[in-house]
Amino acid sequence: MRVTGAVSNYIDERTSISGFVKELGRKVFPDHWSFMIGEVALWCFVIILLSGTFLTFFFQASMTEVVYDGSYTPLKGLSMSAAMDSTLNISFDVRGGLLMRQVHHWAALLFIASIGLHMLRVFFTGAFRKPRELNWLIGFVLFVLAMAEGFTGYSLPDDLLSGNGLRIIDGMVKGVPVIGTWISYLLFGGEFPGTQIVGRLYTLHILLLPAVVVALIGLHMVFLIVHKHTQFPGPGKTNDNVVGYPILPVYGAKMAGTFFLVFGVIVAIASLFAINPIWNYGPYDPSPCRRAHSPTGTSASPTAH
Amino acid sequence: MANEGHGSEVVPVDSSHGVPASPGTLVVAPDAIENPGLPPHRERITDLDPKADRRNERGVSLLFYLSLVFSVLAIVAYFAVPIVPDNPDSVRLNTLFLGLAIALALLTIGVATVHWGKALMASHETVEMRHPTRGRESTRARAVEIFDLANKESGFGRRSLLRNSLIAALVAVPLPAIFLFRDLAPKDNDPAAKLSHTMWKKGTRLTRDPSGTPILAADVTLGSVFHVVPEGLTQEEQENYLEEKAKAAVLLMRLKPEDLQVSPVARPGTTTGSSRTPRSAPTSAARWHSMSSRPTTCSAPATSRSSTSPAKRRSSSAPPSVPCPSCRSRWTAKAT
Repeated sequence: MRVTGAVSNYIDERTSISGFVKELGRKVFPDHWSFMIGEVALWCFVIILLSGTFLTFFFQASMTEVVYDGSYTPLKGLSMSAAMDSTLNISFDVRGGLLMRQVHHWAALLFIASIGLHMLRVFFTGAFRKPRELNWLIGFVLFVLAMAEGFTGYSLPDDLLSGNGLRIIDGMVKGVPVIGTWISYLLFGGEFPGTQIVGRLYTLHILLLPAVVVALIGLHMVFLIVHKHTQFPGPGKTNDNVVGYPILPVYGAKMAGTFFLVFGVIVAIASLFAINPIWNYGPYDPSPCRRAHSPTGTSASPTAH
Repeated sequence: MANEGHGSEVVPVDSSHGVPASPGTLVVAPDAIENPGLPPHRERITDLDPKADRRNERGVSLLFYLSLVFSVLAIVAYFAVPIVPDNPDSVRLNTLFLGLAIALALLTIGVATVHWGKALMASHETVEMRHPTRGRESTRARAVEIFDLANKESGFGRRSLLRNSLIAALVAVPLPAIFLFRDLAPKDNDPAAKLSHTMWKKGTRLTRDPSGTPILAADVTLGSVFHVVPEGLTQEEQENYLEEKAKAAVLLMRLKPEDLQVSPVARPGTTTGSSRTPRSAPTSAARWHSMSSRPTTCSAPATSRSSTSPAKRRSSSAPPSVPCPSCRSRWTAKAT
């Protein structure tokens, strides 16, 4: 305890953080399972950041044409983009690489799902009403950004599926009246598919969008503290109070535990169930007609084949 | 809810009635059950029984140590189940054992921490009072005063010439940034013109995708399907292979002419916008009605007919009645 005291004193004399702890250290959290869904979304995002950072160390966001010479025999000798090649290397030549890819993908799916459920909870309990309208809007923007992250990430490996997804987007962009053709031309750096799009989506996927998401999550949390939690009615609960457990220590322990539980469940799913097996799809080619799709396959309509 | 016979006593929320109600409540029942207050605190088994307390403590601690073991096992799995080059099965096992060990190391910490919080940490609920989100009246008054002062001292409201010229400058200042993005795409090109032309020309031979070998008309039997690219569209011969293929790939089906419901052919150049480009190459179908023993050639004009307005044609013609050999599940054969 003497060490803790000394460290706290050192920090407080330079930051006056004690005021922060005094105000928020015993902040009360009402206890209800439905309040956990938003927390799951938050932890999913942390897990996505961690696994995604690992992937960036190996992934090459380039569409330079290379000849595959990795461990996966069926694709050997095929020419593909460096993005696809490095994604295959992450999957077949980096120990734990496939695990991290699948953690990243499953966590992304759970992220979207938990945001959706969280929004349903907020909507059906009326927790979006005054004074929380702005936070509801921030949350909605976060939902849209999460889907944008999903789309940009889905397109990065430059496999057949992601190329088909991009083709659909290309069609939608070109369908914008008057400026559509030009927007598509600029986005792809020439005609579809070109050699630019993966690098550009990469910048959006790992820099611009995450920065905005982190900022908005921070704002979301600030508003949560300002407004305090909603709570379900019950004995002793009124409109003027919040009944629950203080963040230090009980609720903090539960939240930290939830992080490890969510992380553990995602890693367990990722180690047991394959997701987005790009080696089955092969590199992008505008014409092939395939039926194999991941559960998240976007181009499942017959007209897209 | 009001009881039978007391329905008329349900009153609209109105501050004059002095009935406590939350904002947004439409009606309140005056005979609503009074809030009984917080229920008495109930002790948990770990509060009452020191033995149970010890048992739970040991259990949580055991889980933490188990987590440590699983973390070590994960490192062991990393080396013990390596990825063997050219052996995809080894990837599966590496992912499985490494993943499960890490998952268990995380889950044990999670379960232990939550259980510690629920069973062993102080269990008394606490109450915090809510306050209106808006600032205190004095704070708000001071904020208004500060804005007033800032306005007076800067002259922002009074010097409208300054203010308006500033707004004009701020509107203009991001404009160069928009132009800076022009070079995202190559210079001196008209995308619409480029998209209007494919590799198909009158007399271009039809070749197989992706081998590039010509298709003999005699091979095109009734009900057969070919993935077709124009001659010369191979990875070796064509520099912009994917770009050209995205525009020129064609799905060729041979059907009996009488099975077809031929729609009026759209004149090339009359389509606009997105419909000029095939949305997805394989949906465009090249059709022809006669065949000879010569290699098949394309009868489409410079702007491939197959690439004009597939949506229009689809709306008025019968759906393809032949199953694609490589995606049987998508199209079902129509019995004729």
